[in-house]
Amino acid sequence: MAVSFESELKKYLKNIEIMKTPSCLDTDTIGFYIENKLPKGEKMRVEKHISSCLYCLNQLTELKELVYFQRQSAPLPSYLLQKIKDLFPKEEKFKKELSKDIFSPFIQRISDLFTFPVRQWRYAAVSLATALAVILILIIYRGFTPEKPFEIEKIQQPRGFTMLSLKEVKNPIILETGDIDTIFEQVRKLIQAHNGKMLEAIWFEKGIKLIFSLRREEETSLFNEFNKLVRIKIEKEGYRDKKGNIVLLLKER
Amino acid sequence: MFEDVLLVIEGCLRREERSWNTFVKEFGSMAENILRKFSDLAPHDRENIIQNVFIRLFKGGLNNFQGSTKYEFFKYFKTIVIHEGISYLKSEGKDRENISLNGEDSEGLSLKDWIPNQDPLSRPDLTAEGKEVLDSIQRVMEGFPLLDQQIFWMKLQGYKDEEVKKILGIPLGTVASKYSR
Repeated sequence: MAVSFESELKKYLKNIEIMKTPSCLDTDTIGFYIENKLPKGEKMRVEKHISSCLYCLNQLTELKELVYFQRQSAPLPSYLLQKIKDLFPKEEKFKKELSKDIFSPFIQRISDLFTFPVRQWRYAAVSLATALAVILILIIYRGFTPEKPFEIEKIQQPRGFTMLSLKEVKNPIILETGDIDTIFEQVRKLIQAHNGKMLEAIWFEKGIKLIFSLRREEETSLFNEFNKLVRIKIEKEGYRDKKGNIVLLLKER
Repeated sequence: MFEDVLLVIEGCLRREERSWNTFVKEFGSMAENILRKFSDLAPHDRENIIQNVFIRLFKGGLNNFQGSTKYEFFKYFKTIVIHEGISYLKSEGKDRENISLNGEDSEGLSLKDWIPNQDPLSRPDLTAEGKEVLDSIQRVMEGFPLLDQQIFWMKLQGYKDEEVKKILGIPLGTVASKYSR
């Protein structure tokens, strides 16, 4: 059976390492020679050696081929490329799971704090800013202290509103007193003590009109308190306006 | 093709996904080039081998690289590709030599030719014989210019004229004429 010289030679090429001598060139020198990065004198020395060394000639052709492959693109099928790229996150996930087993939960929690991904910090910051904005809007809408007592700016001069036309209710509650300012203050505190809310206070000559909200079950108790303060004039009904708020007139005797 | 091979490798070792993607794209292409020249590998064989190569590199292969230049890494990479290719052939039972009944040799390069002899030291006669043959080739070649030697050496290994032309960057006619001489 005829066997070619080439096929016989392939058998020996597997052992090309046996041709290596101490004076043989290293991979970098051959690489720089291929890419013309050696000084002229060095280049000649390299060429001279390779011409008389089968091991280095083999290194030269092998490296020339690899440098050629580096420049020659042979793209992989996209599904294979993706499959190989996907090795990355799977491995990272595996690493995280492994670290959970090693560290105690407490240390892990601290570790997680420092490894918290940047994009998650961003989401957290946006959420926090949104929450703060909502709170700020609510505060502005309701006032900084929603539970702050009803405040009245009393207009001393001129005493306007000489005419009072009570269209809101048919029979307002009327309190008559000689010291209108003191009684007004006490009335205000009593309303708040009965969980009522002052809505409006209008000064007019010899009197103040008050509008406040109050739950119906608090009415009797509050009116009894009013009665202890001053003379009260109240009808059975007709003192609540259309919105259900109570209208009260504080009059000078 | 990117030039900063070592920077990309460093990025991969720092577990940077972007570096890994660049590495896979560029060296996937190189692995395909290396394997494509072996006539005994089908496309699906090449895909399986390439996948194994990158799994091996990811699981410590990159970490074990001790060199400091891209040339050293190219050789290291090729060694891994060939090693994984041979492992694959063995696992698939394709590593046995095909004996041609009509006495002709199969054309081109074969990955099977890269399967090392079982233990060279256990057959000193083969090693001595091989050294003798290679020494005699070296003596014959010494008288020729370096380019001629490269063409001859590649043709001896089984490269086709077209492949020699591309790798050495010379005209096809030069390859044929110099080898026939």
